[in-house]
Amino acid sequence: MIYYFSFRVIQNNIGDMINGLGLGLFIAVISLFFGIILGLIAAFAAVSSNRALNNIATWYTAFFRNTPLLVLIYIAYFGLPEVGIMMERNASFIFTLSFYAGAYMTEVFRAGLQAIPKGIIEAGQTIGLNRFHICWNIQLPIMFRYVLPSMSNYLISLFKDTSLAASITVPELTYFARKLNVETFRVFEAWLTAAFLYIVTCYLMAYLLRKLERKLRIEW
Amino acid sequence: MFRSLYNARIILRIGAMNTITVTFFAIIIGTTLGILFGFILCYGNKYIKFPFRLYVDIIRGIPGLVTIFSIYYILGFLLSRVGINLTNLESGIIALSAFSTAQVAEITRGALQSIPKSQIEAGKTIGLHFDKIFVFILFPQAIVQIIPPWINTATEMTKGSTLLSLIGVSELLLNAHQLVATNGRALMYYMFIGLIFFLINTLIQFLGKLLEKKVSF
Amino acid sequence: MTDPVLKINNLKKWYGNNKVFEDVCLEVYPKDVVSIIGSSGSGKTTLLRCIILLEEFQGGSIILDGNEVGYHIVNGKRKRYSEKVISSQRILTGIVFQSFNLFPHLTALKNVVLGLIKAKHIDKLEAEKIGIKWLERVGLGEKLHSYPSKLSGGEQQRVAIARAIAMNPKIILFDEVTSALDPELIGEVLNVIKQLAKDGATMLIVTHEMSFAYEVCNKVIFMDAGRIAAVGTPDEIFIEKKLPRLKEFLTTFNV
Repeated sequence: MIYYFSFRVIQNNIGDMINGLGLGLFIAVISLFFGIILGLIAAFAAVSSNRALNNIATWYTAFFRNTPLLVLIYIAYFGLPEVGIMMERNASFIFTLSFYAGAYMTEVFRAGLQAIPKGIIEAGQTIGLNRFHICWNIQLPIMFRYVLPSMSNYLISLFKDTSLAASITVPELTYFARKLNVETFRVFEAWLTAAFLYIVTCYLMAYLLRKLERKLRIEW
Repeated sequence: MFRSLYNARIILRIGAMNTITVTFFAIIIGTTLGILFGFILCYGNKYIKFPFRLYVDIIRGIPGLVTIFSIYYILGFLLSRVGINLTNLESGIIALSAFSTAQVAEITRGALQSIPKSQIEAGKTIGLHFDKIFVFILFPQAIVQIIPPWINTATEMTKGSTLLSLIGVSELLLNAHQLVATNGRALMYYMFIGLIFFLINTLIQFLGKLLEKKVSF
Repeated sequence: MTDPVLKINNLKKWYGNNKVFEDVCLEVYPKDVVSIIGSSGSGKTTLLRCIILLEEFQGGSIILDGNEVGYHIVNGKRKRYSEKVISSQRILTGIVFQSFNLFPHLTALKNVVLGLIKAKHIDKLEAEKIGIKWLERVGLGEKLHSYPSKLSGGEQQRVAIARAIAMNPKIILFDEVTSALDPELIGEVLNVIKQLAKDGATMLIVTHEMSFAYEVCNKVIFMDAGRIAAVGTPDEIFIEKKLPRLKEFLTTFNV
């Protein structure tokens, strides 16, 4: 059984694959950004005293966490146009991934908010702060520093999830790896390179994010 | 709307069977091997640990989809050279199992490592050897910690089975594609499939909570 | 005869079916240093929390600086004021908690000025001057930019005192402020409170430190099972101990 491993093949296609990698990173970061916004809104809805808001938040998180991401992608890309919402594939994928990330972030933020001791909120009330100030000056800063590790880990997870964009032919890394495989039958070159690129990127991200966390870890 | 769903039930039944088969095997194989790997990762010496550590880190460092494609294409290629032809379903089960094994291994390792060493020492002082210590003292305590994330893995497998549609396994999502291709109405079919998965996963989580209660002390 | 800073009339509070307190009446005049003593569960902490409107109460009234706070009559029905009004009523009072409750993500100085800037809308520079003044007064002039996690318990509690008093409240409430401190740190906090009393602050202090109460206060209230069982000067309460219940309570403190 002989297989001629060809570096030439990798060389010719590495450009596309790295572009795909870059796109994947970009998508992950943007989706996390929107996801954080959605997550904040839903987390406050989840901890508010309004029953209706609690329920909406619960259903939102349950739906996006229990339904397969691939199904969500198809619903958005193929299904929504039927009711008039059309998006090109990159936007559609980011749209889906943002809501998906938001559901996860909701849980993270909700736990973070509930971990803040009640006494601190009361202290804010006793120095006359209104609800907005307590939220903006006390709850959010404390919560964000608490959830930072979770968020950075999730960014890495989200980056791996971008591989699913290949299913709607978004030109990211997995899409190019499969294209290479199918067109040239160079099985090892395609997939070992892809795997290698993903692993290196993930470890690099983990390393950099750990450094960032250490820098941001304020004296408290 | 319900008419077309009703008409589709035959196709969907096959899809459901495949989804369940794949998920079932992935969970069973993954749990068995995963616990074994986790045990090795916790208690093994550094030479024995190494290949398993490598395996787990690689699988967890690449997206599930890439694992699935890699195993499908690479294994398919290798085995076809020696005359074995895997069906898509079989490749799919192997790929999904590889993924779940790595996850369960990590969960098990974490749970076992969190049990204080003093428990092992206590077991030794009442005359037990490590094998009995593991079975009667360590594992029962580890199980309580393993179950919640394990339920999460089970739901991940259920959701992951949809990825197999991309390697041609005729599970629910692929069937949904076929229905959409013939009948249009993408939103309805995909939402319906989504609903099925949502219900299955909600059920799994509910059963998981019950299991947690039964096992905790 | 001046008007009282704080007047409580027939205050009633229930939690479900449990009566927390009933018919509590109290008057605090300017420059009074009043201590409230009693066993746990007698309602002392809840009373303070009602005064600063962190808790609801079902009956009676609380009058601060001449105005009734917390509830008013609307169309013949008793209703709680809106959050906005409650906020503005709260800052007439200052409170120092047993567990300090400092904002962990802010320095000592920022803890003290947050309320001044956001609630009293005082200009930032002006607020910082006030904050620095009070932190120096409690002996923490060197620790303006330290975070709470780097401060000892006694230091944190002193920041909490500075935070409460910087808001310039009409009356300051102290809720067992030394109970969570290691013994060697209690003294520094008590000294700060002593100094505030000397400077003429009006204070209501819930405490277990009996000798401190005797020394610093001009009035002592003994609460028992949700009622005010005895009121008097320190001598009347601690030396004469007219009530048997009071006697029983004080013996546990070797008084």
